Parts: sequence; C-alpha cells; structure tokens
Amino acid sequence: MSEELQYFNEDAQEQLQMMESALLDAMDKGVNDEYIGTIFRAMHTIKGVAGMFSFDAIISFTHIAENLMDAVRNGKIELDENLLMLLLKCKDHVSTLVDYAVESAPLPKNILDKDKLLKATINNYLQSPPEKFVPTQTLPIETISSNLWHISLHLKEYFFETGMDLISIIAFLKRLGTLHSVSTLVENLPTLEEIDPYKPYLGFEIEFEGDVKKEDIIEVFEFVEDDIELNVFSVDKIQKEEPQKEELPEQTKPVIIEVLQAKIEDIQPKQESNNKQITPISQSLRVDSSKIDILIDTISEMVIANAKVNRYVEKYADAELEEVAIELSGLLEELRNNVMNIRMVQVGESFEKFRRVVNDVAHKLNKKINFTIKGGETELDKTVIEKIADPLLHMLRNSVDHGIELPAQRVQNGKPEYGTVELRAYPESGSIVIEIEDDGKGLALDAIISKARAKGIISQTQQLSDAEAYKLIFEPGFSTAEVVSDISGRGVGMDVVKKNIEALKGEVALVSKVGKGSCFTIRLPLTLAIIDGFLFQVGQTHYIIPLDMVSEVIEYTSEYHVNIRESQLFDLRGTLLPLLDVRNYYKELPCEMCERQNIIVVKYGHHKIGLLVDELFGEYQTVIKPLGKLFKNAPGLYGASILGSGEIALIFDIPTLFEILKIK
Amino acid sequence: MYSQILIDDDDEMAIKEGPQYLLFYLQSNLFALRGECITEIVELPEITKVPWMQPCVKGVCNIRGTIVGVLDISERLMQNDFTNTNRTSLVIVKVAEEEVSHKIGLLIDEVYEVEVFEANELQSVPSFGLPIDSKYVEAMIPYKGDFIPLLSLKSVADIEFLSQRENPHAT
Amino acid sequence: MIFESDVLEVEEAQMIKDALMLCLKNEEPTVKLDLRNINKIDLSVIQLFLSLQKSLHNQNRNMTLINCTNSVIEALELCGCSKLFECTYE
Repeated sequence: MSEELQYFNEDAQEQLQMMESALLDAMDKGVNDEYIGTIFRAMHTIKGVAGMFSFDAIISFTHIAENLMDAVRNGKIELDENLLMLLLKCKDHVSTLVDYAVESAPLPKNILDKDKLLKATINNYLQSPPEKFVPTQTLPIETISSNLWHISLHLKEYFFETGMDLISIIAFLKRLGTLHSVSTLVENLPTLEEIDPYKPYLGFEIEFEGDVKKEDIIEVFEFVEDDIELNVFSVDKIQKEEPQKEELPEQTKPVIIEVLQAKIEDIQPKQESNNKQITPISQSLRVDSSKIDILIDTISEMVIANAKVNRYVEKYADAELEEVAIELSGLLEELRNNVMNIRMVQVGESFEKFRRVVNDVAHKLNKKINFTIKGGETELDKTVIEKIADPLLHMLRNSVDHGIELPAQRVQNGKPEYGTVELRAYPESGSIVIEIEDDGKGLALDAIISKARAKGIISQTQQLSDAEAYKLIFEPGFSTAEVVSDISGRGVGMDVVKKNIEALKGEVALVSKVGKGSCFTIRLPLTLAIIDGFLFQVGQTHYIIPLDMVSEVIEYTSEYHVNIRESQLFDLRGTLLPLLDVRNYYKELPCEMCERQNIIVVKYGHHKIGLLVDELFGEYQTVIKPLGKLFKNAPGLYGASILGSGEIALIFDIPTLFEILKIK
Repeated sequence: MYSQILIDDDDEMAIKEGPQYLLFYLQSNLFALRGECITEIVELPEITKVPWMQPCVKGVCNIRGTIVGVLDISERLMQNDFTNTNRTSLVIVKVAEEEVSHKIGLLIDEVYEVEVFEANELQSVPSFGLPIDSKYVEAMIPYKGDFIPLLSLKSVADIEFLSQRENPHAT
Repeated sequence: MIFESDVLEVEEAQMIKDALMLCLKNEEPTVKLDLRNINKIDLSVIQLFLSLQKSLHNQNRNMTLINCTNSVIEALELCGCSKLFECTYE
C-alpha cells in the first residue's frame, strides 16, 4: 500500500470511529449539535479525501450521506433512533468501501446491493432535499435565459429493487424549474394477470423548463443512473452560452469561499459548531510505529553502551569522568522514559469501539444496557492495547449475555430496567488495572463448584476458597451458561481470555455476588518492552525473572534440605515446596566460580516453587528483546536481555514454566 | 570487534558483473552462499546457550543490540561439531519465515572469497554422491576446475525444523 | 375496495397485486379503489393500478380511484398518470 493510500485508510477509519462514537453517544445521551457535527464531518472529510483518489463508490455514497447529515444539521430531518441505526449501517458500509478501495478490489455484488439499498433508504429521508443538494438551485430562477429540455426515461429491470422512488426524483426535478408535461408510456405494460409486481414496465417523456445545464439534470438522476436509460435533449437549441460564461465568475466565487470555509472547519473543528462546545484536541503527529521501535532499539543499545562506560568509570576511578557518566546516565534514563511514553496510547479510543458491540449484543438479546466507560485517558502501551482488545470484547459480550438479566426479570427483582456495564481503566502501582463490572445476576459459587465437579475439573471432595472457586470459570471447557448462545459461545471463551492476558504478563480475576453482579479485574504491565527483573546465574548463563514474581531469596543451606532420596523438594520453614534444579533442568555446565547455591522462591498465582540457582545479582531493569522464531519452542523462556557487559541473559516465562511443570 | 568483509572491491566488480557469492570453508570443504541473503559477517561473538534446542542450534548472541540465533551448519550438514579457531566467523543471514524476515547467524570455519557468478554458470545438483544431503544444495558452481555446492538457505535454516525442541528425556 | 394501510410501496407489491386480482373476479362494472388512507404511494403500485385498468378494459369494465389524498394526487401528477385515471370523491 502506498503511503498516501495508507494515510487515506487511517484517516478514513479514524473519522469513521469518531462517527461511530458520536452515533452511540447520541443513542445513549440524546442528540446534540456536536454529535451531528462530528457525523457530518466524518462523511464530509472522507468524501473530500476519497475525491483526491477518485474513489467513486466512496464519493457517491458519502455524498448522499453528507446530504442527509446536512439536512439533519439544518433541522430539516430529525435524527431519531431509526436514523441513528441507519447511520451506523452507513458507517459500516463506508468502512467496507474504504477497505475495497485501498485494496483496489472491485466491489462484489452483495456490497453493491447494499450500497443501493442504503442510498435508497437515505433518499427516502431526503424526499424534500436540502438546499445545498445541488448548488445550481441557488441561482436566480428569474434570469432571462431559460432552457427547454426534453427528458426521456426508461426504467431498467431492477429499478424497483434499488428502493428508489422515481416520483421523489421527479419531484426534486420539479424544484429546479417547471415541469411542463410528464407523459407515461404504457405500451409495454402487461395485464394484471401477467405483471411481475417487482418489475418496471413504464417509460416517461418529460418536458422541463429551467435555467440549468444538462449536467444538472443528469445529476438529479445520479443515484439511479445505473438503473435507468436516461436521455436529455435541449429543445431550445440556441443555448445562451455567452451570458452564462460571463456570469460564471460571480457564481463560482461564493462556492469557492464555501469550499475554503469547509476546509477551515476541517482543520479547526472546535470552532465549527455554534454551540461553542469545545472538545479538547491535542495536536498530534502520525508516526509509523516501526520508527518508534527502531528508536527504542537504539536507546536500548545506548543503555547497554552506557553500562559499559560505567564499568570503565569504576575501573579508572576518575572523579570528573564519573560526574559526566552519572549525568549521561540520568539523561539516558529520561530519554528512554520519554520514548517509551510515545508508545503509550490512551485506552479511550480503543474502548469506544466496544460501545458498538455492547449495543449490538444488547439489541440482539433484547436487553437494555447502560454502558459506561471510565478512565479512557489511562495510558497503556499500544501493543498491549491491541492485544487486550479481543479478550475484553469477549468478557464484555459475556457480561451482557450471561450477566445482565432481561428487563422484565430485572424489574421483577427490584432492579432498574436498564442494566449497567462499566468498563474502566486506572493505573495502580506500576501496572494498569482494567475492570469490567456489571450489575447482573452474578455467579453463584456453589453452582460453579458443582459444575466443575460435574465436569471433572475438580474432585468431588476438593474444598475451595471463594477466590479459587471463581478461578474455575477460567478453566478450559467451563461454561456457566445454561443455554449455549451464539453470543458468547460454549465455554471456549474464558480460558482463552485468561491465556491471552497471561501472554501479556497480566492477570485476570473475578469477584461476583449472586443477584448483585460480577466484576472482572485485569492487571496488566504498563509496557511489554521493559520490566523490573531479578538477575541471577545458573552454570554459565545469566537468567532473569520478573521481580514481582520473586517471593523471597534464600541461601540453600542444610536447614532447607529434605532428606528424601531423589526428591526435588525443599523445606521452607515447615512447608514442603517443589524445587526445580535449574542447572540440571536446563543441562547447564557447573559454575566454576560460584561457591554456594541459592533458592529463589517464585510465586505465581497461589503456587510457590523454588528455583535452585547459582549466583544472585539482584534487581535489574530489563529491556526485553525477542529471542526470535528459532526459539519459539524454548521451554519456559520468554525473551532475552542484553546486559551491560554485552552478555545475554535469558528471561524466564514463569507462567509457561509452571504449565510445563504441571503446577496447578 | 566486527569486521565487515563483504568485499566492495571496485576493480573486481569492473571485470565481472552479476550476483555475489560468499565462498567459505566448512570442515576444509568449500561451500557457497548467495550474497543477497547475507547482511554481515562478524568474528565469532560470545554465544549464550539456550536450553533444550537441537544440537546444531548453539544459542544466541548479541549482534549490536539484536539477539541473533546461532546455527552450527557443520553440525547441521555433517553432524560434526564446529571447532573454534581464530578464523571462525559468523555469517548473519536473513531468513524469511511466515513473511517476516529475521536474522540467523551461521557458524563457518573460514571465509575464503567473495566471487561473482552469472546465473548461467550454475549447474544442477547431482541426485546423490555429494558428501552432504542434496536437499541442502541449491546448485553446483564450477570454480577453478572444481565444483562448489551452493547451499540452499531455505532448507539449511529451516526454522520450522530448527525450532523443534530436543527431546528433554533423551540423554 | 379500500386500502387500510397508509403506505403503498414496492415492498407490498405482491400483496397488493393479489388483492387487486380479486377485483378481476367480481362482477362490478366499475372497480373502485378507495385511497383515502394513503399518504404515500410509489411508482410500482401506480403501475399495478394501470395494469389492473388494462385488464379491466379487456373485460370491458372500468376503474375509478376514489377519495385520493393530496399526496396521491401529487404523486400521480408527477409521474404523468393523473390523466390516465378517473378520480372522484364519495
């Protein structure tokens, strides 16, 4: 895709996203001028940019959608719920058109049909077309130069299927001048017994007088041009070309100004609407995210180089050099944080997309839902946001489908008719928390437990704490829905959700109260690129584990030994825990320099294990680098990091390691 | 520390035009690789072992901030572990896997020469009789009265195969 | 025959055709279509009326549109059909 096309694509999708948000907000909170303005601008802007690429399908569609919104803006058409739903469909349709346009793929039949249908529906709304529809209409009708036109019209076979009403079109033509006569040609009309009610058999000959150009007349029939045979002849042969040309500068002037104003509106949307509602728009610059990745890579290398400098500083013990080195380190740290910040994106835009889904699912299930989003300004690494979208979507669907009750049932239970689903995000001690809370029927613990027993996920006698019981819903094959629905599937969801979140180094948990509702809490690291790690050595190799998974570190002395032959256990103050001898497990050579062995007690979920390792180096700011496809099957390894010495440390993937070791 | 040795000798270029090939020694046999897939050739860096990999996957190394996997092609082609000499080099190549290209380092015993051959000079591979499996050879290049096997990077550095885990219960 | 719905459009064309077919079966010399409820009529339905008229003429019968609303009259005029029908009020 060329750079221009990519720009067009991004721009169009962004406009459409804004349009969708405005539509959904309008549905939720009622219509206001700001929403109308946003929707209008989206269609207007896309039409403008599509014009630069001559994407005719997009231009013709956005043109009438824009007309519709213009009529709404001028108060000629009321933006009611039906129209909002129609506009949502238009948004989806334009999105499809954009997709095809950027791929320069021809539109398939079903999309062309949809195009016609939507245009026809819009035109039904536009029966009394707004004034801006055809600019020539503003020309003074009383000018001496009036032209007589003969218009000959034959309807093609599929005309009625477009849903377009020829009568409305002729009514519109009438507004451009005078209809002297309309003759209906009925020669081909069959008798009632033989007629196909969905096929047109009529033709029309129209005598029309108006100070218009041929193109203006053709434009009137623009939306049906593929479905009619149209011939326009000038009856008045002496067309007054000369005076028209003289008038031209005066006519075009206001049009140009209008175009300029439209441009200014585009640039400064906050000044556009009369209601003086100012939406804060921060200046932004579109940057290819791969450029930022390169920048981060370079900075990571600088961090490594800087670590080397610091080693020399230590070696030569020069006070002045040390001072410069410290300053350099500080600046580098600052630079790194700033660049990492570029990757941070507000979650709001991504969250807005869910509004639509919640809306659609609620519609489908006849549920009434107030969906609120809080903390949209919370920032999260772009990659994380992209990867968390699917799990969130699934959980939201789940909340609407399984959580919220039907309106009647809610009222019966003394709850408001409208259920509430809230999606919120906030930062908490170095990570980001995303919560999905509903006030639906909640999950009954005993139901979960008995189901898990029935499915053999837990044994009949196993006793569980509340938290453990809630965890069961994330087990593969677990579903609490009594009826399998097409909305949230058949229990394949939550375990996948959990996996996806864990792949992002995140966690998910559930709390629920019967009759009151449920709340999912997802905890995510701020970024995937840098973690606080704990550095240690096993044999010849450096390893890192995420610091927050380190529960404690102990020297492996005799008091922790367990005197069971061949056992891989250790005794942590009376608790017997599994001990993984990393050197043995990873077949490392012995560490010659290391004098004693240590145990790192790793905690993940509710489980603890010990890792038997050699040397400990402590906390380490870890820039995570991918190991690459070659190592995609490397057991329990997540990536690598380059140490100050240039050496490589391997990063443990604790969740996967636990899985490999079958620790549950 | 790193020596860039893809030769850009103008005189030589003037004599013969066409794609470049890297000729190198493996276990005292000459082999060739297409120059276009090579990004650089470096002295052998320190290699960090990654557990449980195929014997020919030696581990990872740090090539100016990028983690690059190291493949021992002697082991891969001839089941002979490489011997580290001061001439041992790492050839960094680009390998395409699922439309994403990424870098792998190939261990070679010694760089011999960079030569230009035209496409019509390449000859087809005999179906058997070569010291290595013919699936690893893309073509034979006549060179100074002898023939050099041109290695097929696609099959030598087949990531799908190389990424398979060594059986942890073996040995 | 009186139409109860206020909109006669292509979506109901088959239904309308079936209804009109009944008129061909009865013996009345003049078929009366009462359009008092109609706010919107489209070309496909007007075409059906014309077609009915043609069938009736073949049977030497007539038809009249009665109690046309302003929107019906306007629609008929716009497509040049007002002169093709007899319109009266009752």
